[in-house]
Amino acid sequence: MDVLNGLIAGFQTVFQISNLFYCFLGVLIGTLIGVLPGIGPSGAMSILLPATFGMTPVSAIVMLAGIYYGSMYGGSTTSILVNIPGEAASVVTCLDGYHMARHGRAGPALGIAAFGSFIGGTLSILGLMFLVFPLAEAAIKFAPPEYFSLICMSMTLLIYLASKSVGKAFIMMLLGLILGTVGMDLVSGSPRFCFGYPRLYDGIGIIPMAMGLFGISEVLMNLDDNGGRVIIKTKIKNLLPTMDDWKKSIVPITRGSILGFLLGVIPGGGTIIASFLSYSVEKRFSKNPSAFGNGAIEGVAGPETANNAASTGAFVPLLALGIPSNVIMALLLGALIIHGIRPGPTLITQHQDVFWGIIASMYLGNIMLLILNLPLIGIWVKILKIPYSILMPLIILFCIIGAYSINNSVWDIIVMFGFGIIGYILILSDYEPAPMILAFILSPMIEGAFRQSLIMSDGKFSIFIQRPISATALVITALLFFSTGFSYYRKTKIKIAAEV
Amino acid sequence: MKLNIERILYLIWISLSIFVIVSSYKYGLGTLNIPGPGLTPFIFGLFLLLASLVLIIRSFLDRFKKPGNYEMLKIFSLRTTLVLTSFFIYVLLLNKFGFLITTCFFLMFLFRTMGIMKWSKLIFSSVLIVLSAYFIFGSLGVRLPAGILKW
Repeated sequence: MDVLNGLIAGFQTVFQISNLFYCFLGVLIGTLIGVLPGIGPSGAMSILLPATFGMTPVSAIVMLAGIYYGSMYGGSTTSILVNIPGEAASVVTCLDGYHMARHGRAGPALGIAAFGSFIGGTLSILGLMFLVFPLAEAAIKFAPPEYFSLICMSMTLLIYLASKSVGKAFIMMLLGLILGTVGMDLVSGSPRFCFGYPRLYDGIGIIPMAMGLFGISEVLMNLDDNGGRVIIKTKIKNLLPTMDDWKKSIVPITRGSILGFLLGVIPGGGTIIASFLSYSVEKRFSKNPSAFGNGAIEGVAGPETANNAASTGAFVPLLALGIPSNVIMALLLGALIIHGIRPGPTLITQHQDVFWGIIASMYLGNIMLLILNLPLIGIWVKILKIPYSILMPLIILFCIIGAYSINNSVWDIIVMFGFGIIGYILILSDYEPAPMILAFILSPMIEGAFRQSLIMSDGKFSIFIQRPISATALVITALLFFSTGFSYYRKTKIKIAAEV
Repeated sequence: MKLNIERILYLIWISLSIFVIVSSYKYGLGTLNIPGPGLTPFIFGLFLLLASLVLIIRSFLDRFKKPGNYEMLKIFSLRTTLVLTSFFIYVLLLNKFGFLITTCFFLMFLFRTMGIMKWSKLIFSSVLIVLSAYFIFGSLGVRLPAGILKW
């Protein structure tokens, strides 16, 4: 099916009333999540996953995807007006966006953030459309050894790019892999780590686990944060950037689109790295680098474009290969599996409505977000004033209802609660829960690929090296491991030398 | 005595990995050409053991970085402890007393913990929110526990 016909079919799917509604709901909730501190897109998506059970797969993914890229738009509002990023990928926008607001230029800052996000998102969707096909075609020839090695490489890249300790991220990944083995072994039918408890035969639920790790733990982290939010008291006028603003921003927006898209495609890349890297690049190439940190519009345009482009680029490995590149994509993978759809090379051929529906919804969603984020900025400012003392109990309430609604069972609330405490302790100890949940979702895939590969090769590990794609992925994995160890060894040597 | 939470976690990972390795062995590793159900968790457990040992040794050898000195008791502030305790009690009572009654009291406690002091405001907001949630989600097909209000 050629691209144009597919896109037309996708728009026909998306323009159904129900899908239009869910697309709007997703981007609205996403913007709200981006604006409000205390819960991020992963927490929101895990809370709303049970709500998608009654929806069609297209509607479910359209809504959940909308939450993700919607939060990228919304996060810039608080960064610019309050100097508090509503979302981690908007941290860098605080540096210049808030300064612009303090100098009475909140409007152009918000405007360029919205327009940049729109352009980045749109260009990224084009890239997605054209990259997915050749990747999916190549992936049809993949066998279990390729999948095993690619998943190993994805997970290694993710922990290599971990913002905190790589060693701790590795431990989180291994814990996720182990937790993914809890339940009935699909091949032999024997229970593993169930301790005779029938509720564990189906494994640990991804939804209560994700809710606990991202929703409840974030609530617990913010409990003692009594910091008042001081919102810039300025008239937000002139949301349309001036010609001069556009002249300064067009190159950062173009660069941000390309950089963001490529980083989104790479596992472990993602929106946070894209926004930081874009900022560094713009500062590096600027004719006036000293302006950065003091209200340079390029410092808003580039990163905001990059983070939205990355959020779309992340769909490429998920849709083409069925391999999620970050935790949000892992949750979407979980959602697709719950709805009986296995993303991967056959998604485009066997579920064209889902594939093209998602693509078309992204175009529509970006237009909706532009409308939501500019004219409705006054409403978002009012929402910013809602104190956390009111938000926190509401978030917990939604988590409880969401968890209970999965199986009408208190067990899921207990699981969510347990992982909430675990997530809270882990975050305080500088562990990141994201690698754990990603590995948890990938655990059955990697185990299946590993076992099938050994059966195919009659027990010989050389199968992973004999096949070129598998060998390349494993070499990259090994290089990343050694480079981390070598980097630590070098830093320790330098410190010892300095001490002496 | 100060409890170093970081090293405690390393010890937990080591214990967990040993447990996983032993259990996986019991499930059966199979052979390489017919892998058993225990093979993959065995490998994961082994890697976890190695990684934990490396990190715990590193934490003792690393004289440049002060290990995380989190005192166990300080990890949970009073507010956090209250919220967690109330959550625990809530889960125990949910099925018995039902969603409406238990959640009402739970929300009142949470609002109070977060600093909302006026009782009228507490009671009114909690009852309104819980009733709204019950009927909205009920209409979406979510059967929240009725408890003692079963009729």
